[in-house]
Amino acid sequence: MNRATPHHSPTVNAKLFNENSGNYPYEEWIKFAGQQIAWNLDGTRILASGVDYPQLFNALNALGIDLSQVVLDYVPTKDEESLI
Amino acid sequence: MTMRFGYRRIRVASPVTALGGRFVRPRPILSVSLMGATTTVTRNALLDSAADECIFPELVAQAIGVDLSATVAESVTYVRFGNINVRRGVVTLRLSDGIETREWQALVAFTPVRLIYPILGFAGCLQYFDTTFPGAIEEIEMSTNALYSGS
Repeated sequence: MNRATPHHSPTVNAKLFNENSGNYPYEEWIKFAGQQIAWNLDGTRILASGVDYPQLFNALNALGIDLSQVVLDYVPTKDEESLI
Repeated sequence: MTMRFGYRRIRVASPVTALGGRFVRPRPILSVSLMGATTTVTRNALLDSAADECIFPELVAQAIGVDLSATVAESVTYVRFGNINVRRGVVTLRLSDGIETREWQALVAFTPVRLIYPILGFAGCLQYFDTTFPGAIEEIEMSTNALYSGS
């Protein structure tokens, strides 16, 4: 069954995102430990960060970047590296 | 057709003993889009076969225009989070591996509690897919099943 979407938004290729984000330099990645971040859609660049969603959203807004143009993520701290 | 995704390889500071000293933790994390009345938010979420439902941050609901004000907050106990309050709203979820794209409506729980990873659990996601996790190649394979009614 087809459902009309209320607005156009780019389709994120999750397979490509995982491939690209996995190659992101660790030394750059760890700078955002404990923060909410926004990647570009293909996972090659981190565009903005914030200690929480409101701060991140404000940062994106200040950059003129719409929420539909990013992939939101979180960088775990060292204490959060294991999910068990 | 089957959607195929590689595991997200999360880099870690210390070698993982259980994985022979690798400096990554492979996890079934997928970029899933939540489409609401006003916009779309894509968030990396953990595909979790042990989770009963899908749960995302409440701020995401606000951002995409899902009105939770008329919903009743429910106190739910999750093993991972303990006792938390959730409100549920209907959103359209979208997953794509660049070859196949699937969109479907789901009743998603939203919580004000901080989540390290939002969860894609059984109700609203895995119930609509036959999913395998080939460990040797660290991939996820998802095929729609008879319950799936999306596009």
